[in-house]
Amino acid sequence: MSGLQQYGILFGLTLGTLGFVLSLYALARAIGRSRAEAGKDVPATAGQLSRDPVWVRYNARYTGYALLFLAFDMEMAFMYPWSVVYREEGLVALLDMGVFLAILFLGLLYGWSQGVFRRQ
Amino acid sequence: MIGARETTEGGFFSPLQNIISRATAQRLSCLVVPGPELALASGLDLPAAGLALAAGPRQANVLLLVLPLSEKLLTAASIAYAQMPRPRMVLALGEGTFSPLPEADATGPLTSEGLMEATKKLRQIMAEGIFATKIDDYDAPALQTRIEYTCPMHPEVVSDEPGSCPKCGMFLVPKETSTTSDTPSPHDHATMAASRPAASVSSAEFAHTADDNVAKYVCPMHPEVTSDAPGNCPKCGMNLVKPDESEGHGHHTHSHSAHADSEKTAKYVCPMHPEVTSNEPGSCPKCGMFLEEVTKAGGEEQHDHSSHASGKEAAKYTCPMHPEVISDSPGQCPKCGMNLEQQTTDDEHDGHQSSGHDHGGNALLDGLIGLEPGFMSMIEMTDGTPRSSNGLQMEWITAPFGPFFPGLPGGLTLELELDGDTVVEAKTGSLTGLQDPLKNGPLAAADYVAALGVQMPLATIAYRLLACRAIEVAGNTFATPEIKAIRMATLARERIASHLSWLSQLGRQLGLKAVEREAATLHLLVHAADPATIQALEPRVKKLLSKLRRTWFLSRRLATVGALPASAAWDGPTSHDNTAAGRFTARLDEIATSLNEIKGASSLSAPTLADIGTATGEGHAEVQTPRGLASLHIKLESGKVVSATLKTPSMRHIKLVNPLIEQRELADALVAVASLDLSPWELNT
Repeated sequence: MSGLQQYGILFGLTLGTLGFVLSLYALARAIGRSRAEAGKDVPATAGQLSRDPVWVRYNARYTGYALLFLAFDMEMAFMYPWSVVYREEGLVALLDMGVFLAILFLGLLYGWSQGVFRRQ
Repeated sequence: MIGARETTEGGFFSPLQNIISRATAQRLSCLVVPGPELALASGLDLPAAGLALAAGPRQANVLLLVLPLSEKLLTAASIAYAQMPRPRMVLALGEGTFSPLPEADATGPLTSEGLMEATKKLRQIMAEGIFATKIDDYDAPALQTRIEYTCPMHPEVVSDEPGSCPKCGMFLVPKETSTTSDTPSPHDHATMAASRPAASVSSAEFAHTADDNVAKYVCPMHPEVTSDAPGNCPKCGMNLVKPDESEGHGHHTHSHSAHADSEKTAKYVCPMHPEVTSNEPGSCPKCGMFLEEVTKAGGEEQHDHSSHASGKEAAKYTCPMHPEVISDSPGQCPKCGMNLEQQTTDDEHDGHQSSGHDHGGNALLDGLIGLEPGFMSMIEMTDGTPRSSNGLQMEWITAPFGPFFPGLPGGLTLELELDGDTVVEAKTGSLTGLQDPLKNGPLAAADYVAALGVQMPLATIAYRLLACRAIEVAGNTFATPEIKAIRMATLARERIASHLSWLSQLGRQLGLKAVEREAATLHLLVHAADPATIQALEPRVKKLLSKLRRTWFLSRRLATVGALPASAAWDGPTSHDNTAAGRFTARLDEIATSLNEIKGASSLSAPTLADIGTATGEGHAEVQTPRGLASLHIKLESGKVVSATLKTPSMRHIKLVNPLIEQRELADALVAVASLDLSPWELNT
């Protein structure tokens, strides 16, 4: 394929993209502008104008889960280099990682026994 | 078409708009007012008419009114209509007015045929064009909102005009408030929530205790909470402690402030561990943070700031952003233009700056020039906010879950106070409650029966039967055994229909589309059928029942929700298990037994009154309605009902809402409310 042909394809793609975007604009124009009316920006839709601000400090009660997720997510960082050297190291690597995971798992069990999975 | 979309003049887009109009007409999605269960009870087959049920007004393009509707429901409907995106249409079925709503695009009788006809008309109107060059805004009294201006930092500052905050000088931001609603504004609400337990601590009392030098017990977190006897703080539940009586060094440093001087509650407290309090500055034994001084009254915002300040001689004013700017008179900061704040709330910094006395609390940070006083102090963040069950102080919001909420009976209002995703408290009510049929004077007995039946559209048969029985007892006339058998069988049919409708509603709330659809279809087939038809439908109903019993997820979902206390006044469908799962299986069992009850019946018809003539007397009757036991006490005078006392199951059961949902996760709370099967028609408004 000559260079000119390649540029032709690129040009075609650009035209296609532009055409798509323009047709979206046309569709949006055709559908009409949305109208700001009373009640439309009220967050609740249950038939009442709720006036409370909903942008508040939110009491997230799953902080325990979040911390546990973080702990187990971090451990994945250790598993990447481990998987790279696994073939060279063989069984030793498996055992090492087994011990590491076992300790983490014990921590999980401890957390469980302390009720971190219970909803506060 | 009143709810048309706005378009510009000129027909450049009109071919495209025609296509869009025709496509929109094919996909109608409706919001039913008051709710889908009433459409079902009226025998409206929405799917057959090609109407999908919308989850809320934002997903709907048709507002389906099942008339007659109460005034309050119409007000709610007008809000929902205003929230619907254009194009939107109103479809009114049945007799009745719907005044705040615009003129209906299609009307019809409240039958399935009426719905079909009206929907066809709607489609025609839509296909002809959903665009108009000139459209009007929809305006209803409930929507008349006025713009209020409030300070982003001080929500208690509310003004009708734009300007700047008198406390910090920031520009006020606009906010919408309703003039017609009697609900308190967010500001009121927040103050209410904060001061609710301590409502008795008025500023007069406060002034009194402040001047009083007698030792009192005070809350370490809320110095305004004082008591003569030891006890717990009504705001945070902490033990009240005895303040230091000796003239400590704190008072010298505060001598310029009359407020702190007389109020001997100067304390040092750990910002993270409020239980750690000390009379001396130092560090927290738990976390090592510097203890902060708590002389600032927690209720400062609730008191009038200026009244405290008046009469003080050495009052100083400082900029909230530039603590080095100190002035003897109020005014603007020469550096940033913000209003200077009076230094009554930050006594420790005053003392620090005026006398050079090191307090220990925030000493390191205070030493830095240019830092805001109280930098990184967390106390102000949570001051006055209610304390959650897990000890955190966060903001609570109140959110409405009704009258139109998918999966809850339409017309039932449920206003939940939410702490994060946890329900703190619920306020329940009904927008379409009981009206006394006798409010216009005595009614003929047969008319009373009919009127009570009409009032209870979700359990017409049961309440007609109740009225018939009570009147017959009063008139000392009794139905023949054949009629009694027909009545019981008809009640059984209504029970099946009602429970199927409830299943459909539960399926709707839990997102089980198949259950929602199948239960609704069966309801439509059963609710007015004769015994032979019901017999023929029995395998299909049984199939649904066994499928529901086998759905492991469903029973798991319901098993942990809605456990009633042992003493609860519950008389609806019950099994050995008092959770939502128990009520669920009990309803399935009742459907099965009711099917058997219908088997022997020759025909089914709505109960009609036996001839009582012109009897006089009193009668009492009870009927096990699908929702529980209803009772009616009636007084007859020469064949006319002169007074009646009705007790419905929902009146008792609505009291169970709060114990069932307190401190539960929102989703669980909603399922728990649904499991009670409340009828808003049976409630007092």
